[in-house]
Amino acid sequence: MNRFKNIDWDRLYKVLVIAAAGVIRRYGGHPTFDGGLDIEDLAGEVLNDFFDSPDGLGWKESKGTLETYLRRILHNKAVTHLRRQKFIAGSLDDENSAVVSDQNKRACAGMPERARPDIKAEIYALIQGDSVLEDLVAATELISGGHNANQELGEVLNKTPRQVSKLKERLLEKDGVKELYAARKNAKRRI
Amino acid sequence: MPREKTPNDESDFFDKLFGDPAELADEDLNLLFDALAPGSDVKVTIHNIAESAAVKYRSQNRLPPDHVQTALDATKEAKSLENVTPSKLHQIVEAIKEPFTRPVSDPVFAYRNRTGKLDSDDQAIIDNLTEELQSDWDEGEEKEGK
Repeated sequence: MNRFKNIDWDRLYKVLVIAAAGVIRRYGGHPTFDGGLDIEDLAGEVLNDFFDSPDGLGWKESKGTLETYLRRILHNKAVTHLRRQKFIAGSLDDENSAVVSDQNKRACAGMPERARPDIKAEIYALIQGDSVLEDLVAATELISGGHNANQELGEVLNKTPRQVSKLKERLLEKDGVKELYAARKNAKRRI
Repeated sequence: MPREKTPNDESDFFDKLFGDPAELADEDLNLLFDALAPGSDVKVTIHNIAESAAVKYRSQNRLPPDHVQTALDATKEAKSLENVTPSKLHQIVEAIKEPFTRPVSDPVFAYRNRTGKLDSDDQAIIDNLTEELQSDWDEGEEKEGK
């Protein structure tokens, strides 16, 4: 029995790209991921390793879904790239280094400090005056953020999950929000 | 000593807003993916990666393993609906069913979104289009019969 027969490869790749953006964003959008290696390269690297491995990196259905399995590998790869960056950009111990900022040092070293604690404030600034989107952002505080995010937000906002989905689309269309989500603007700012 | 919590153990605002990517409906997944990689041809990308791996296996006189072959088969360019995966068919059907969100002049496009009764003019247009569809349908059946 071919255990890969029911894999939706399109979906798998998209999930990996979105997950890669999440990891990079949480580490603060390291410049490497804007000027050099990008999130699609990272997802591609994971798939490359997976296909190059005769046993698919040892994945079995008993180990959970392939998406989850490869996301773990992607996470480790992203961290490795971020750590390796210190050898490209210069020593992390060099206090006078113009290339490596304090936040990058923390990211490279894998320090526990959150890289972007105020992402919400930045979004509020970008959507200022759009009360519907402001409500959406505010409602996000009240939900658990699990797999029923649209349902939960819909209950708070008195909207259907589909309407919530459309609101998110509208949010991403706002100038700067997409860049913030993809950690692009973020990365450029730190170069 | 307990392990220190890394930033990646915590979700950020966007994670909370959009939810776990693995759990997203296709529509939301596509929305986010398009925001991150606009214009990217996923099928071609996966096919190229799998093909490159397959070449390596073949150069060692080995058959590409199941996962590589399955990915190659699933991502090869489809020229007909035969052998198209159920998920792709589902995606096509969903795209057709998707309501038009922009203003439309032809009531047939707005029909699904209507809540009230159709007026006589709209009804006449719908009837004409139904007849037209029926006639096309009959014509198609006749051709198949020949």
